[in-house]
Amino acid sequence: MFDIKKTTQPRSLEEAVRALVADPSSKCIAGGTDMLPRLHRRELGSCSLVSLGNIQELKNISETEESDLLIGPLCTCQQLTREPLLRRRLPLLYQVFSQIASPPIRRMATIGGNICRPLPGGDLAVLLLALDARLYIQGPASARWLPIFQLYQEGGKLEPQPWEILGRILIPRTSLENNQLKYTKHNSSGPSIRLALRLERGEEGCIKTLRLAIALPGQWPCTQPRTEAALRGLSPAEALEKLPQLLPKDLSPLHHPQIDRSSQLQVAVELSRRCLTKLIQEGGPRA
Amino acid sequence: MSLQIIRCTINGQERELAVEPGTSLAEALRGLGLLSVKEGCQAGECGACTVLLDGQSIHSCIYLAVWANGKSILTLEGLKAPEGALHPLQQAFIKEAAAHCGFCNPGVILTGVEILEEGRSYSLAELRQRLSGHACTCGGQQNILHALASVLQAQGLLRER
Repeated sequence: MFDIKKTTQPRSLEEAVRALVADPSSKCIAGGTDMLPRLHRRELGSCSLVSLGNIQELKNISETEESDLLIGPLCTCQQLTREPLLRRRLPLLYQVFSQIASPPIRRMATIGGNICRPLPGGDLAVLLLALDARLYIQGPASARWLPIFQLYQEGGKLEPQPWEILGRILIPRTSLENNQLKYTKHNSSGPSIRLALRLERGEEGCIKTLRLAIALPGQWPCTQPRTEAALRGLSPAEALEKLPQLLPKDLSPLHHPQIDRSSQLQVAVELSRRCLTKLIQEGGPRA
Repeated sequence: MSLQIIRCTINGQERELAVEPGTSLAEALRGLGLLSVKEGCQAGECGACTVLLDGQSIHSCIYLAVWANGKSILTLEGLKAPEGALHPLQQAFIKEAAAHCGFCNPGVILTGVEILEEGRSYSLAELRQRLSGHACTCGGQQNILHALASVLQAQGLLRER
């Protein structure tokens, strides 16, 4: 028996926001694959739940007129592995979804739940960070778009407010077209280090945009703006040479009993170097 | 704490249940005497609590009973034919000695039934992947795999690759 005082099952986003405002102690629940085990382990106190499962508008996948990709946060991993639009526009995301957890969990777990609860399990947060995804946040009075990196700033304390709900995930066309993307995860012993790298090449193959998102053990996922800026405009060979010198200055790993700080840095640098090497070897689209 | 009324079909019978907001589907089903639904890890990892919800396998320990309103649920008790005959997969489990302690069997069999009802062909590697949500701590995975594969083979749905 979970320590739940009340479960509300709204049928629209607005109704869900109203339920959160009416009871500020209540929490949103999507697929429940993370929250219910946490309630069972008593990591969360007694609470009321606003269950989003009946809100159909949060389960759609579509394209905007500008060819951006719109994903409803309640889309389950299984739904996303079967979605032809996603397979065509973003095959890597499709591959990542088909590897997450076991089939029954993929049937219940949602993309919204995965990115709103990225610590410690979220496989997708780094990928969506690398893609410069934007989040549509619905509040009681208004709605707004939030760049995904803000969700994880300052330990995730800034955004969104407890009475706001993630309504849509937008992946911009500019991150999808003429871009190369790699995702990798290191977890051979102990906690995992996840990394996603997006590369857009400019004239003569030089780096036009490089977005590098990393999640180290016990930390919120984040991009590496200083390294990204320093590598912009360089040739692939120059970027590969400079990456191992630049990246360690950007990262601040925390002590972890199973993997010390220097090993975390070493793994992160090596994963980044391998991803960049593979993308360069694949020789993706150029401007 | 107020009770909530849900209506659902359980093993072919329409039922009306009064459940507390924090009751898991596994607890609600066990409360009805459907003891094939095992409560193992209660974290959605071991698969012992697997039931079919509208034909799809789910971990009922991390599924709230109130979410089952309007759904159709199948547990192992509902698999038996009216005259008492076992499902072909259950017979294959006996033949392949796939039951050791038996704790994981109800959940694995229901996932197997879901696979068989899909009517598509599988390779052994794909079957292993599909069964990855079930933990058999007795180490009986190979026999379980062979039992499921034998039924698929009899239906001409087992691929070499």
